[in-house]
Amino acid sequence: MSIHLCTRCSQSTIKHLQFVRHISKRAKEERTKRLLSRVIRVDHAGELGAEKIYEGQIAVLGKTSVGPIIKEMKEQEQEHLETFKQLIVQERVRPTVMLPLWNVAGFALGAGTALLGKEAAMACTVAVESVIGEHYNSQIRDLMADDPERHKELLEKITKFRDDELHHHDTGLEHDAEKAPFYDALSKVIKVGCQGAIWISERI
Amino acid sequence: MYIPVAEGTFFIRTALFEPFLAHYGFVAIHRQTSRSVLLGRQKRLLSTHKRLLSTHVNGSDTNNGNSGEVKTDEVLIGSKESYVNEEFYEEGEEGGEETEEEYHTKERILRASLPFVHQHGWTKNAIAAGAEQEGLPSVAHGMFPRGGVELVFYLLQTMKIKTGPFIKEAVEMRLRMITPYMDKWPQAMAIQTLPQNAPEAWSNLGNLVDEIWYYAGDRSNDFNYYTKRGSLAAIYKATEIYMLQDKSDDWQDTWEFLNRRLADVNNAGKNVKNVSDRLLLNLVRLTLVFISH
Repeated sequence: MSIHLCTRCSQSTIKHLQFVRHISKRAKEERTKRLLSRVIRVDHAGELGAEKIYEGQIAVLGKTSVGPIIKEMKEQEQEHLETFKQLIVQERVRPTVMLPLWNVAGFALGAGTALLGKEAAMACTVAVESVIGEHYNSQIRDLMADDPERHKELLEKITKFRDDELHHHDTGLEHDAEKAPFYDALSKVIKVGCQGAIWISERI
Repeated sequence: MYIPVAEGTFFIRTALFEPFLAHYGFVAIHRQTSRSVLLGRQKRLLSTHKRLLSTHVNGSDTNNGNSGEVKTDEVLIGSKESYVNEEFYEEGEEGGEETEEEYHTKERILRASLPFVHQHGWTKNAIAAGAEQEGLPSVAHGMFPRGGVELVFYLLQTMKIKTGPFIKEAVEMRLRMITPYMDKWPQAMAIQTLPQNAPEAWSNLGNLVDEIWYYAGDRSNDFNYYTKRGSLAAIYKATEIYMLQDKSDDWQDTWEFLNRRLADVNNAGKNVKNVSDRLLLNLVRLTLVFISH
């Protein structure tokens, strides 16, 4: 058997050609665009939802001792939201159709858990932030797999936001989230709900 | 409570509907000017009104007690209900800000001055000549302290195209691109509705209206994104269908149809200020295009 060199990436051919397909530039561009559009759409929806959840919690617990902490977390989410709003316009991504629904649902979730007590509100924060943290991690992996150079700025932003969200997660734990009534069940339900919302927002 | 939205159309707001929808991400802000502020404004207008009336009636500046005084207090305040939700009531009539009348006069003068530019250049003289043309004294050029440059800026501003005309021209241009194939276009539209082709056809339409709105200047990132594109998509498709049976010269009937549709959605939006009405309005817009002619 003679050995040939793959002209595009200068590796010896036999095994190489079996496993690698050099896709056309247009198809690659398509793939990147689809990925970017999903990422930005779902992140925009997520930050909006998170902000609404905190708003709901503030509506009930604003005047208590945890009020200032929740307000601070909400302000950070607002900053994240502004970034994604600007990215939506810049990358010509369409926002998710479910925006009005997430608006209401987020507020309802925040207010609902806050009514169960401030531990429950913290438990909600912990659950949501842990889902978001995992979600950002998988996005970072996808973006790195696609094209690390091109997505450098976006990767930096998402990494920073992921760190912020994990900070919120830890704050929630510090404030007795685990003492909430039915912590496990509550946590599970909220996590499943968030994952469902993420799945939908990615597609619609 | 009835809220007039467009001539002949009324939407009823209920206490249940409104707060729920207030949480939707619609852009519309419902702002209520406080009654005391409104009454304050009305009183200021009234006092100016009275002063002018009394000088006219008595030939002097002094207020003449009851005989010359118009009982305008009750008349205007009696109709306060219709103004409580009014957002057209703008601040800014105090001090040196220009009034509506001044603005129109300035526009008239500048428009009339443009032909004189060839003779006088972009100078005060051109503005003076324009003022005279309009029957005003030539010293009216004093209304333009910056001189000739105001004429330049006015001209540039007339060249700006507004969203409405832009969209109309974009849709017309796009439809004209189909005209070479108009004899077989009905077949093309039919093929696009087949189930295996429909998704791509829809996404093409989506891309088209997105492009038009983006270049018209829309930068929305909330639900307005969909309402704008949805209404334009409906208008475009309706016009395309109308065009299939249009036999007029240079498709004039189609362009008139397009104008009527665009006017429909514009007029429906004019008087709507709050969230719940806006939601109903957007639903109405989308259906209007299909049921009206």
